[in-house]
Amino acid sequence: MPGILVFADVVEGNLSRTAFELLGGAGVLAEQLGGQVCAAVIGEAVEGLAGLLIAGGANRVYVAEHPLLAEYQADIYLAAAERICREQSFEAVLFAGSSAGRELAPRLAYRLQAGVITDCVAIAVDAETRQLLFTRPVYGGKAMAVMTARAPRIAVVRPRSLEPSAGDDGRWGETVKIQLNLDPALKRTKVVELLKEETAGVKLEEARIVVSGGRGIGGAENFKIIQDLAAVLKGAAGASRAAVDAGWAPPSWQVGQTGKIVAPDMYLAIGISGASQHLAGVSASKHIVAINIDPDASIFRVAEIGVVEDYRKVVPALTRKLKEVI
Amino acid sequence: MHIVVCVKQIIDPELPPGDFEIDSLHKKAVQGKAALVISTFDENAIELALQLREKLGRGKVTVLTYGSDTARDSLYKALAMQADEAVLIREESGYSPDFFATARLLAGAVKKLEPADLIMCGRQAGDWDAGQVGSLLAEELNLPCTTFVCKIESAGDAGLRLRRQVDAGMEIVESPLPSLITVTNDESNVPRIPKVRDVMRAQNKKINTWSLADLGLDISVLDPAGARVQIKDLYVPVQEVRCEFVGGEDGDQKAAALIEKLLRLKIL
Repeated sequence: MPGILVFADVVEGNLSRTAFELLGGAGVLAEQLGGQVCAAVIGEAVEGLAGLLIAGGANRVYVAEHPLLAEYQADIYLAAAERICREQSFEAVLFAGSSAGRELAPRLAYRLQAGVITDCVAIAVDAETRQLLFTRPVYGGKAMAVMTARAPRIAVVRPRSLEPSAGDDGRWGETVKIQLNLDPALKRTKVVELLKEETAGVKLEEARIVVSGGRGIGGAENFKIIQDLAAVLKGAAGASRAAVDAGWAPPSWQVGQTGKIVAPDMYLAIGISGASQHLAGVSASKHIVAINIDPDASIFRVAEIGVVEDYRKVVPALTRKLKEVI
Repeated sequence: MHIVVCVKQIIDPELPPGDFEIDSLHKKAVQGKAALVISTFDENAIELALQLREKLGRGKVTVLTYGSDTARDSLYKALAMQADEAVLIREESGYSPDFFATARLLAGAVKKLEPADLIMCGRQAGDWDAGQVGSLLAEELNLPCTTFVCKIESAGDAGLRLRRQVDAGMEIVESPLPSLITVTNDESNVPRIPKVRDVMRAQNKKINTWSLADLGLDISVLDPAGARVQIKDLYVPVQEVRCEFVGGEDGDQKAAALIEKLLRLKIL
């Protein structure tokens, strides 16, 4: 029975949260289709992570280690990923919607002659045909497409779309080490420098709560109000493209189709009118709450809860009261 | 340096949801009254290409697209922005190519052109947001590929020094030439608005129009049976959420009502 393979992202030596989301999703599919949940981890010395992947639901972990894999570079990681995918047959291969996953998946699909679907928010098994159905937002979130693909179906999954598996340290699984002969000449481009971005607190894409400000915020100094609320909620602060273009918030905060795509439990939009490209980046949020002075703002068409008010009057009060509750 | 920029004409992504409709038979969006525009990131790519040509003081920018006759407007716009040449691969038979087929069509045209040193694509199209064609085209042409490039730091005959956006921040990458990059938006590559005079002049420029046969390809490239992915369903999600507005006389009361609601619905 073909398995479901999950590629686990490693960030600074640790497994990314998305690895457990993919394992959780793969577990649900494997239960319906039969077959094993497999995980793959690529790096210089990553075998130590296999146990965590097994605890997270993997029946088998493929470990691809090589000195040339010490730092991420697409060509060489692609070679390792292709090698793993040829180890056995897979019903589906899941990548996280990280910068690595998004660039590896199409190229891997090309090499495996597989179909690939990016930006998936749900994967299901068709009750009649037993086919895998991949759902993804299109046209800026104005429509949803349900896709099928040629095996081994490669999917890139939006972070926070799948329920992470509950870890179980008692779970049993096997570790398979992949023997790799990698040629340094495979690397056709060279990463010469990584300029890391300092993020205080939770990462935007992984935050359970995101508080974003838009054009209605009116100035850079007012973004403190957004940050204060985000801090109380232990969430991350974000911004619309309008606010970033105005120079009020750094580009790394930008949420939307042209920025970061988020899917938190709660997305709190403050002073954001709701341009399509912004909504496309937040449409997978579980709950959207909007605060805007304009009752006709498009954001209220997608929000579940709305507050029509000048944010200056409501947000500081909200922050103050939440401090008492939380 | 010969730079080829691949662009896609799409339905204006800012079309309000209320005006958006789907042709469920053909599983695609209905254009209706919406404008057709160059996909946003493709415009950033054109801008980056033009800036590079200007910085080097030499070179040629060719803009390439696949589409119906309406796609000519996108090419005229690129020419008005000061691209040197434009090529249209004319749509045939009404089949919509999947991403793999699109990459094959574009690769066919790139091979027919004078040898390209640098190929640019937007990081993803503004309608399907798949972000695949650039990477697939690089595979098709067996070229080095760098995605999410926001800036070209420097360029010489030996290669490029690129700045790209990654999850952790920015990466500086060196790539040899020829190569392919996909472009994302940045304050340094905001597309220029063509001058009226250039818009007029562009209309008189020639657009090279190629058929599949001109590319040495036949219709089987577009055969849906060969597609690697299939659209089973395309629908407008039912707006289940009807916004509930919280009441209150002032900001304080509204804040309190909001918290009460969030707690009651167990969102907090």
